[in-house]
Amino acid sequence: MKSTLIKLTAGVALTVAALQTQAHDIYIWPSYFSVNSEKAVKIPVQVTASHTTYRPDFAMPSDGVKVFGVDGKQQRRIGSYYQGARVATFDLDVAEQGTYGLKYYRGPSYRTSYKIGKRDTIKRLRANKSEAQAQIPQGAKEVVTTSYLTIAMSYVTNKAPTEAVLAAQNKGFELVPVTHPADYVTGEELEVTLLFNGKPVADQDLVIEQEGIQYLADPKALELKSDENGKVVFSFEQGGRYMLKVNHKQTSTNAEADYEVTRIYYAFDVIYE
Amino acid sequence: MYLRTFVLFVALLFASSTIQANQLTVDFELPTFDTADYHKPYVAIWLENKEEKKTLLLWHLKKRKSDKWLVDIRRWWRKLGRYGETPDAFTGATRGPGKYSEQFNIGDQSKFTLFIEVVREDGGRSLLKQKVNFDDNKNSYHIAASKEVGDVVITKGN
Repeated sequence: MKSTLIKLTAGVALTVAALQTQAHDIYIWPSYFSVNSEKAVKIPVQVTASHTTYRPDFAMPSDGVKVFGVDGKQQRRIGSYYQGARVATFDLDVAEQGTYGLKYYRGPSYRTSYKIGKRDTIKRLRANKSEAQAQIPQGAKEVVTTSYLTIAMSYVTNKAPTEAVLAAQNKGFELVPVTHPADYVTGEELEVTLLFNGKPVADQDLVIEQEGIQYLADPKALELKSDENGKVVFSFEQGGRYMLKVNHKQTSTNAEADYEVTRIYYAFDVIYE
Repeated sequence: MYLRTFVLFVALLFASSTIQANQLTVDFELPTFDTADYHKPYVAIWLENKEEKKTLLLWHLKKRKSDKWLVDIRRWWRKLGRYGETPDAFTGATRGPGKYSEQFNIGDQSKFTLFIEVVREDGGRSLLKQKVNFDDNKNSYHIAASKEVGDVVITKGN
């Protein structure tokens, strides 16, 4: 494990911002991560895009929400969805015992950039390779197309935790919890694995931020890197809600882009032992 | 003669296996808090070792069939509560400030960690632990008072 606890100074904030250009962080954020209910119960979930962990800024539409039941299968309905100005909410129906998965997908969307003119002015447009061909002027240089996929994720557990919803899909870039999210406790080593098409992603940078940095005397962020097996290990002294952010870029496996970027935002809580 | 010896041996064996059911007494105090918003605390006492985790006592809001606030007894919930209902024999209603002396039959367990977790709504939380070994030469163990629990004395036997 290579981890450094750093102060969230302006410099770090800028580095993170540079890593995540063109997008806000997206949160799918349950009000309860662990519950005890014999009967069906509703769990409020918020969906928002923001630059500050757990502070809503832009409401996200419902079409990106996917809910996975304790069997790991996607549920058909998510119920009423209220989209306000800065936060969207819906009630997660928790009718069974076990672990539910919450995900929000945005994209993939395509951006093409190129340089043009005597001053090599950088121009950008929303287009994949085919679309860009028709729009880019003659003489354009360094034409690069990138696809962006954003995945926000979180888990809710009713009573005893289950594993089905955590299973790797072995498709694209993904973050797979190894320590069960219902077992994130201060002082213990917590582990996730990063995969691309089922294979470990080594040497990948990640950042973890605690919520409410505006209320902390000494806000800190964890900067981490995956090892050769895609494994990332971390631990916390402070309980609370956290956001893990990872921004993965690689040569595209899709003919419509040169590079593909997947951004994952994983919301979780850590309780005191 | 041989038969008599054998019967005596079996009787002694039976008697010793009966004695094997270890008893534990836990004396503790729930302190008085001078606060306008006092709620009687949730209390859980349990033991953990490699072989077993066993609830010995659970005081909570018994009126609810499914008490949603049990998750707030955080370690107990994670180790025991979430895996199934706690039998009535081990549960009771919440209690106010005072001294309590609780006896537990812990079966053949002789080496374990005893946990006491006390959580008070709008108040604090204390999680105490003590290694207990029936094979050591101590008769009792003492845990110093913490915010939500006064001095605790764990005594082997009744």
